[in-house]
Amino acid sequence: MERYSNKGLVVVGINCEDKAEREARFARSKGLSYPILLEAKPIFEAYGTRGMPTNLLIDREGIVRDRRVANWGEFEKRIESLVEEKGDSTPGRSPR
Amino acid sequence: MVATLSFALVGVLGGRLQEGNGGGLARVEPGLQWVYDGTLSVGTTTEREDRREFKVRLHYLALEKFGDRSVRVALVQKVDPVAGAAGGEKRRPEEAEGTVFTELGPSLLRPKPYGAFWFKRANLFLYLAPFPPRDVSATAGEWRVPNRLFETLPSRSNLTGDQVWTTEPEEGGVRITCAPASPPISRGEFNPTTLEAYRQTYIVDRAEGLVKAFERSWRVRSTEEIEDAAITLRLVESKEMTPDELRTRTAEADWITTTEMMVATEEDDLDALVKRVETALPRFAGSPLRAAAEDLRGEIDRKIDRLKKDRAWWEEDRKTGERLLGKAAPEFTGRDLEGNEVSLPRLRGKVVLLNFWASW
Repeated sequence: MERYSNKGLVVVGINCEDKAEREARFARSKGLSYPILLEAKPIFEAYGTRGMPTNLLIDREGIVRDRRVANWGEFEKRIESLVEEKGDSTPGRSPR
Repeated sequence: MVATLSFALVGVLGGRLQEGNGGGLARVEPGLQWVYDGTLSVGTTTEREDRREFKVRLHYLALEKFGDRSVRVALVQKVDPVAGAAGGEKRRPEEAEGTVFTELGPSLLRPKPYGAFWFKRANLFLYLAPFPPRDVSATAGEWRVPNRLFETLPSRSNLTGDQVWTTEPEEGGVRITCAPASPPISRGEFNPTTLEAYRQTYIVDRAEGLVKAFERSWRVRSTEEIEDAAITLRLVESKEMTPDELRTRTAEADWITTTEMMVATEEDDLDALVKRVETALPRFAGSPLRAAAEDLRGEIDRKIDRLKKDRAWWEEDRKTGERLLGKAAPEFTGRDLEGNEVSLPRLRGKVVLLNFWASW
């Protein structure tokens, strides 16, 4: 993902488990550097997410442009086309 | 024989086999036609039909991807340390982590349990590679395998009587060669290490078959034939069956195996399967395999139920997708691990990837 972040891609990890902090810290220790929201059941519900992992792409206008369960390969192509779209080339900043 | 490169993660959701992050095709090194490398993770597979389905699905994955029956699937088993700590039961606790290797492929279609399924929960590492066809002249060749998969296998394997396989460790991997055995290997050349390797991996039938076949100077051409030889010998020698009976039972068992496979893989025309089973059942009237044949009928019903649930699940998921696409993403604000605020509205102007995940 690093390779898209300088083209304006921001990644947010969302976990719905009650006690996932340990796992999340583990993920962080393995080099996942993006922000991870824990115990985020309301977000899961708002997006109707059931299958894991689900990836969802939101464009620069805040519109949902793609959503896939698993199947990463296809998804990556979509990320590529979306970050190339309407070239806002300011590097993706951390959402903090 | 097989090889691997880096792993990629593939998940099984509710028994479904799915390619996941990074799974992909790879071709490396001329002469070694690497077709796929990846990791499969299988969830708890305690149900007999789940295990069978998983096996058959693996085989179909191979066929689907490469359309070639000579492609074999190999699984290397690794205990999932997390699941293990959480109480994932090991049926064979003496089995060492990460060393069990079994080659599947055509044998996936056989109903025998292989080592890969001894664990209720394990990570199965999948390697697909074109396996040389059985014709001896065509199998001669040399493969360089960039991993240590075979380090526990014997350096000279006389498995088939028609071929000699040698595996030699070399830097960064192993070199495998296959040459026709000329003249065919005699019993005197039988490699006890091969036998020991089988015993250690609990493929006992193969080990026994190997011994007996060599004792009789049989020329068996595959591990499947060795297994069949072992079963045949055991039954006939113990006078449990006359040769005629054995033929009948074998045909019945073949029918059951084939039908089981159809039940496990068929997704569209299950009615035809019901018909197939019901038409055949009278033939099993006096057979000891009658119960197994009748069980197939129940298995089809369970399969139909499962498919309905599966389809409903995916349909629901599809509708969710349709509802969201092209619409404004539901807004949310939350705090991340470090307690920093993450707010979707404030990310306007950026492409945002939401990665919903769970550790299960």
